[in-house]
Amino acid sequence: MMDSLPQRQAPNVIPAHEPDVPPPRAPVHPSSFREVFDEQFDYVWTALRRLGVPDRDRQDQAHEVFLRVSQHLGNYDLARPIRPWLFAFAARVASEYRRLSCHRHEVLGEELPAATVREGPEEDAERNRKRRLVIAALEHLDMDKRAVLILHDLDGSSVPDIAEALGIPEGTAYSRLRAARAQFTDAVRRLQPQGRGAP
Amino acid sequence: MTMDDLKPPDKDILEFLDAERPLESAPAAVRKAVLSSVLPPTGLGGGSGGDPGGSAGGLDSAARGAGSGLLRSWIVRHGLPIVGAFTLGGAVVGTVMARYLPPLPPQVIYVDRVPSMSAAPLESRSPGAAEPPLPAAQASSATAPMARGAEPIPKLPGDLAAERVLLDEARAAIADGRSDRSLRAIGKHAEAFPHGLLAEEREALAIRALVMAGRPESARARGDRFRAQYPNSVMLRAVETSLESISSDGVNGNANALPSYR
Repeated sequence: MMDSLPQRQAPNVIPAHEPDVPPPRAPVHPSSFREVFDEQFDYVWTALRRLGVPDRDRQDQAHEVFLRVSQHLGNYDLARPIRPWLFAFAARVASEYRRLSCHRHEVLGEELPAATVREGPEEDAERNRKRRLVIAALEHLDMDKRAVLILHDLDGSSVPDIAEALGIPEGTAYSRLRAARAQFTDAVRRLQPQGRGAP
Repeated sequence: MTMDDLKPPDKDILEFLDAERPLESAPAAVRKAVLSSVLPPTGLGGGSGGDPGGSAGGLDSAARGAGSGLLRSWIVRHGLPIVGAFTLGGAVVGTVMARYLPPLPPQVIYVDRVPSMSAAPLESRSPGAAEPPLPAAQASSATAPMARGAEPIPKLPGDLAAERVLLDEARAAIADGRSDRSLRAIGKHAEAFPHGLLAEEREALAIRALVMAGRPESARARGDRFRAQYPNSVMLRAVETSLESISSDGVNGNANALPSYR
């Protein structure tokens, strides 16, 4: 009679007849959303600017990003770097925002807020000039290339992590990075005043 | 292709990238506003979850933020059947009582007649005089005799007036096509009056503003919460109309161009 009773299994043991069942995901700590928010808000805030969201709408778009992050946090694999994963949400939100015709042709002539690096007034002015030029040059890239360039050349993410976060093949990520660098370089050189920095 | 195949940026370009690399510090007020709007006061854990130092506050807010989906599925799986059982049981008990218990005798209420509240008809009043708006209950019974012993209709409390100001601002901004301004007013209302008397109206306005701002996912999420919180709302039809106006290309567009979530 004992043999006919169903056997209880330990919760984390994969049944022998289902060898392809993936192991359960590492549980997400319940306080992780607040940690993600506190640690990465500045990153998302900066990313939205680099993705072409003007200051007046950045708060709303940041809200949208973190709303989606909170809804998908259960799917996040703790073993992966978080910034490319967050950036993917920011890129999608920015892309949807820019798709609205009223936001499409913005001229980003806004005064840039200060970065975290503090220098003398002349160095600050020069740094701000370069930052404005970078943002203006990024406007010449489509969103696909812009995203890869920002993630790699500004955020320092590796191409495999970028490909994973954006859901594209690594080869595609490399191609986009190469094309993005070429277009970005061309745009920077054209946007600079004549005689400055040209090769 | 590998990194070895890629030509690195030129030195002058690297200088530009270095200038842009440091992160920008977001204003504290913006952080707080975004956090409080992402974790709305649904009453699950109480408070705004904005406590910066307490881990319990962090657990609370994160549990709300990450657990709303779990709560919804629990409601669907367990809550609805429980509510359905109570409803059915109540209907059965009510039917039995109506059938077998004797009806109550009619009650007679004696009231005093009072003079009409306005001495002159509306048309004869001075056209320039501003009429203060009457609360709805008073307006509908302005000429009816007051029942004996009835409580006088209270004046609008200061909070309600303040709520009204914010929501009027939000509504006017929507009429002007300024969804950003509307959402800011709505955010202020949510922060100051999370469980205010006009919370239902605020939520309906928020959904309209989000649709106008081109934020379909936020609008839909808020619409789901509205339906759950106010299933019998008179504003539900307007909310559904707003949500139905979201076009499919605003969200699903070219799947190859947008990053996917993993």
